[in-house]
Amino acid sequence: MRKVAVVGAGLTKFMRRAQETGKELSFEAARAALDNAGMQLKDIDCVVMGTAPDAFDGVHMKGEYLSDGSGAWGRPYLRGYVGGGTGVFAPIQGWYHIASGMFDTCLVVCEEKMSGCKPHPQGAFLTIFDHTTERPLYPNLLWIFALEMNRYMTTHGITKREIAHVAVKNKKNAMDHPSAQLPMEITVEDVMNSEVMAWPVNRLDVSPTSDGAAAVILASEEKAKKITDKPIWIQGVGWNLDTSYWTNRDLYYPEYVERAARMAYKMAGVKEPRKEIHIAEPYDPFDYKELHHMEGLLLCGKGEAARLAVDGVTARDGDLPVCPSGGLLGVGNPIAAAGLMKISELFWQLRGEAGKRQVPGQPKRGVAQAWGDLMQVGTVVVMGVD
Amino acid sequence: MGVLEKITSNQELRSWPGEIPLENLYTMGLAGERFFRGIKDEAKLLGTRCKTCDVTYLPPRIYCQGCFEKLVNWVDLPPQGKLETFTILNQDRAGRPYKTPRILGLVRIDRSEGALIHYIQGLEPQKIRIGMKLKAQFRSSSERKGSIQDIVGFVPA
Amino acid sequence: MNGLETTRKETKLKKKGSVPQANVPSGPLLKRKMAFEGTPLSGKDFEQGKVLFTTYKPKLAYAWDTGRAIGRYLQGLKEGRLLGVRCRHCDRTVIPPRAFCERCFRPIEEWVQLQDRGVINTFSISYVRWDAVRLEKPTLPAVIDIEGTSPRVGILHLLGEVDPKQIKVGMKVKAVWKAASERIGAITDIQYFKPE
Repeated sequence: MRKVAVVGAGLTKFMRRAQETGKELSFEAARAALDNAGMQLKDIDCVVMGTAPDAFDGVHMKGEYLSDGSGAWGRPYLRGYVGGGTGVFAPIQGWYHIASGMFDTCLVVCEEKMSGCKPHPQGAFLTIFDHTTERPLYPNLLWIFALEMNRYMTTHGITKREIAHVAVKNKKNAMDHPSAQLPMEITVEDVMNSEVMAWPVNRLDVSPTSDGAAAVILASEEKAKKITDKPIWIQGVGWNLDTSYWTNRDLYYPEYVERAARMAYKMAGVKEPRKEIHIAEPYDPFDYKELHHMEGLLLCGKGEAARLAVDGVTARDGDLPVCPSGGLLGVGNPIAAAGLMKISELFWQLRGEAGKRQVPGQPKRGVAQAWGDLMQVGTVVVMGVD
Repeated sequence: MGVLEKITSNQELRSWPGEIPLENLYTMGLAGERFFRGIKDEAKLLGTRCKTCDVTYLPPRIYCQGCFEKLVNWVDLPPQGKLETFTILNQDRAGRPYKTPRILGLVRIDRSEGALIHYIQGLEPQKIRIGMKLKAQFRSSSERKGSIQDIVGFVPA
Repeated sequence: MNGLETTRKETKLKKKGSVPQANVPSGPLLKRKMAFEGTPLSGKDFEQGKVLFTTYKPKLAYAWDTGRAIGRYLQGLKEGRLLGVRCRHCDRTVIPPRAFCERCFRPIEEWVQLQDRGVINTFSISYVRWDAVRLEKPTLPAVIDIEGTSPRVGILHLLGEVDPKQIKVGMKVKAVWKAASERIGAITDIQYFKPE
């Protein structure tokens, strides 16, 4: 397989409700990525689109609808979809387009416009549950997070207070991110005192719904070296799906994330993730998810992640910076675009171009991860400077 | 209970009813906002033009799909064009017959590469010909809301 | 610099001639804003008619075939029984029933009648309805590991007749059924599970 590099990235601002259509948001992100790489659309061989349920935008065949805004007019085009895991799955699809030798450059775009879904974007999630055995109970997306969080807390004896440190950290990190929707300086008390939505989940434990888009450009080794003198290499990719019978497994640990991580680490030659990974961007739609996923990514033992958050190890200037971007909690959660935002963050961090968000110590390698479907998919990308 | 086993009791077979209780709100977008404001306020059609690619988009877009540059060049287009293809509808979506058949056409708008799908009115179905010139018939200004329905249909020019 | 800032000049090609040929504009450095700012809207913009929009409510209704396994499961519920299936190859008993084992990918042949009781695996106290409407009285969803299944095999259901503050993971609960005459063959034929 050929080496594949990220050579450019672009983002729109993430916001609660944008006037722009999904196509227009896609265009702005894709155009920014092209400009970032100093490329034109004619330099692009193929396009990959990642976007989550059609129900948000209210457009069936949303991939096709978004295609011209993603630069896919008259080009080989693929839309992939694994729910919330999509944002890190899309660059994996772009990766094999190039690693296979079939194409030399690939524009990867992720878009989500959730604001148009009424009465509330959350309602779209009702339809992910089994229509016969679960939907008659009117499940709410918050339920599954609350149920998983409770199981995680109970199994390890972790408190809400410990978990709240993640929300505080990420929303603060987001203050340095120009795309951020919910940057704020808050305290653990603020999180604890915010409205209870579905215990143990409070309002400030949760990322917002958002409109936004993100894009990255991938290139083969030969092309990448011509485009930039600072390519960031995709060293490993992994993805894995568990069963949709989500009540038939123990929710305290995301085994599928571990399987995806092991696949990516093996490809990247990473044997001791805790030592060899310098920055992590795990998926954090809820604060406990960051911890859950750090464990799945083998960055610490089971039940140990909360301690690292409380002790400041995962702060931007800590020993293992986690979500230096501000994550979904701070930057926002336009589902697929949020995952690709994490890939963009690693790209800028590893190039030393993250500005105020830059983690110290010239990081050499990072991991980004997303999660989704019915609590069942893990998608992982390891990126590095060589 | 192999999946290919014969069905022996139809008591166990049934379906579960349900709906997807959502509705959607669509903003027009940056290009769409200006396009529909043009229709609503001035009964005119606006397009965007890419000089590099020599393309005029209608409905307008804020980007050129060919060269991917931002489009800032807005042009007034004549609300008329040529019929490129059509179909004659005899029944509605529920299968109920129309009293008078309706004609749906694709009208290529003059001086643009774009086209609109709309109803063709003011002539007998037998008289319709591909290539014929048509013009948009707008509702009165008080009736216009900023939607494609602000155009009643296209009639012979 | 913060990564989102892009300058076309500084990213120009190192070597000339070969594709991709970046079209680097000459003249002054072309600087873009750090992130595309977009056009954020508030609810008021819609109410006050500042922005045009359309709405659409799809009128779609479905009749999802239950398939054989869930068909029989629903029939069991109508009769006031909780049915599961056992994969002999994996020696695993699961609920809801399924026609094949997702692990060994063999057909499942064996039906098992389970107890209508179990243990709370995890739970939530939810003040938010599915469509994000706030609730005064919370709903109490839980995953309940059903007695007689393999470890960590449960179903999603609701808890009732319990003070939310008293709910604990590991608590034993029992199904509260609707009256036989009211049961239709649905998961809601069980009203909720209550502490034993």
